[in-house]
Amino acid sequence: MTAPSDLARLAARLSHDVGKYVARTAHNVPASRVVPEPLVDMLLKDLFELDRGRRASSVFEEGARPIEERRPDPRLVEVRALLGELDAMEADMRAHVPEALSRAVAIALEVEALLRGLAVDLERSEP
Amino acid sequence: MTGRRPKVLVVDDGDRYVELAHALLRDYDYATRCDLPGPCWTCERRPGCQLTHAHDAPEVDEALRRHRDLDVVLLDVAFDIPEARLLPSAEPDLEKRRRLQGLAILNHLRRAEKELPVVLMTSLAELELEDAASGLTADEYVTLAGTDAFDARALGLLIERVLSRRVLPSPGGAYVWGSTPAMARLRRDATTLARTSLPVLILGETGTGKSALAEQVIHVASGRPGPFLAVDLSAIPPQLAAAELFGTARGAFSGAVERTGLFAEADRGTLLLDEIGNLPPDVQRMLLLTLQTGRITRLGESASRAVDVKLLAATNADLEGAVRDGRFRPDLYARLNPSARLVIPPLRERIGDLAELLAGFVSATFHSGPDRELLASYLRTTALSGLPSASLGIGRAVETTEGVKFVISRPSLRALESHAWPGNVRELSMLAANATVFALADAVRAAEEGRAVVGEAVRTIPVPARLVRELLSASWSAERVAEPGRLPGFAPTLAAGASLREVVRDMEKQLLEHLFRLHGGDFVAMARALMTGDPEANARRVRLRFNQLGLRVRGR
Repeated sequence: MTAPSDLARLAARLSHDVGKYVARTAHNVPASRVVPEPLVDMLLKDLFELDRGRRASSVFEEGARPIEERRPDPRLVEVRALLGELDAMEADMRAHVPEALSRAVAIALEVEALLRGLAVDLERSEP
Repeated sequence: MTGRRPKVLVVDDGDRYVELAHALLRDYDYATRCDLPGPCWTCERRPGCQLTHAHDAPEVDEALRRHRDLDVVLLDVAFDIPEARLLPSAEPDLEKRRRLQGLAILNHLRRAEKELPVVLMTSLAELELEDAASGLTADEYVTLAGTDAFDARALGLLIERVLSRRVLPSPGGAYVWGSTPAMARLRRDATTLARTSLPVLILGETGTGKSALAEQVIHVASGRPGPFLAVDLSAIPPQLAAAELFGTARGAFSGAVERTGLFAEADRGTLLLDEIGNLPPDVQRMLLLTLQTGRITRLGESASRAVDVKLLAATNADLEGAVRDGRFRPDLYARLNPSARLVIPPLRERIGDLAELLAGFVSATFHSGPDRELLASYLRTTALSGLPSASLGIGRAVETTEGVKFVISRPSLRALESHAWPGNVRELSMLAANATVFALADAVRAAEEGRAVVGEAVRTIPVPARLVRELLSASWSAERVAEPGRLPGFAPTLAAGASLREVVRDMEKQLLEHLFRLHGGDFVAMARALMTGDPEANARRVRLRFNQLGLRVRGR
């Protein structure tokens, strides 16, 4: 059985490896959520070439699995759905459709917040 | 600071940070390995170019060799690179080595460039769960980017802060800005106002560091060649204020001697009038005249003379209220440039800066004076080499190769962050000094009695959580005084013309000096004479206050 501290560690890594990095460019998009042209390629890399060319959803699945096996959490389900939505929008994003890019920014920030919240909660729940 | 753009070295296994920096941090130049002229983002070879930053430790070495003019390093922590490119380590877990390679690179870099500022692109929260991260220390040259790592605007401000710290005068006097938005604004406004001819009004609760801001930031940033002088107007008897500020001619009044005056002494420099609200009405009029004309007239003379002084005024009082009540001239208040006043937030409103402030105070405590001598004697006793210097580590055991490192636990840090800090950063600086001096004194005793472990391990000195708790709870309130009247032989003297604050402080000093002599320096006995409760704990409080009043006694 994985000790709670290991769970917290896994969640912290997931928050770092996925949450932090998917939101890299999103943090620098103006409040209007209109993505400036020079940032579009960076945003696409954050979401679809996150780690050694793998998309964020793939990196997430790898990191989330050992956590869910021990302690399922609705936030992981929510993040999976959000990343799925991103994957479905990839063609529009690569076509620089403004609405798709804006939505991607919102999703990236939400994914980061959800994963950070999970990491914090699991750390606090340590004995 | 020179006019050139600061040069940044980005150390990252991938392109994340360098891309971000190139796209959004355009005020900086970048160290490149190709050495083509111009910043990276204007380089025509940029598309697909991989030569924009260091990807591992050997490339850091190469960058340092090629670029002797680096100003700051942005360093990632996790490096997903082949094992052969990782720095050698005894850690068997390859994954862990990769996740913390940045810290190994930091240590590696420190050996070559001891004082090059490094911004680690991580947060304390990310590091906390990594066992091996305990080697990270919060010294004055390492800054954690925290949540600013990917926010280019915040990161830019952070880099500015790091750079500003680098040009400040001395390690013992560096102004710690922290990272709160209010302090970032304060820094920008202070350095802007410093370069103008306008007076500067500095507001803030007691102990927030108004004088430090004036001397270490505004005077330095002003670039004025003259001296920095400060005067606490609450400590000057009202009848002497004019003479102190403007000078006197011999015979100006009964007993008057030739006196230059602070305005003339501060010519071409900076003069801080602390507690400006205490200025007597007639001197307010004289100050107003000086601000209007740029000239002063010594008491007893009719001819005026020109002075070139950057005037700073500070107070923790309600100056606007004093104007409304008629105690402060409205025309003088208007001349002090109140619309651009600088307000230093209390420590409780910038508690996120506490760890950084604490590290700065620990370093400053042992920068000079008797505390440095005590540290030097410790190094001698324990046969450690190197100069006496101190830094602060937070968390588990940390290693250092020079000076000593004081370590406080995370629960202690949390306790400090939960404290209200009515005395603000001054209170924190006193706590930092007392906690580390007490811990050092215990370490010295252990070494002298042969109880200390020999070798490099004694470079790490833990600050006990109990000591931190005691210092936090130390206060000097009347209800703790036990049986007043049992103080034989105590006959205090009062200085004529002193303010109430001075009288109280002076009485306190005389009382403690009297008890110190009476009890032969036995703090436990002094505590018994003064307070009820645990004499050992009270002895620490008495000793703390003893130190706070400048009555320092080292040793046992």
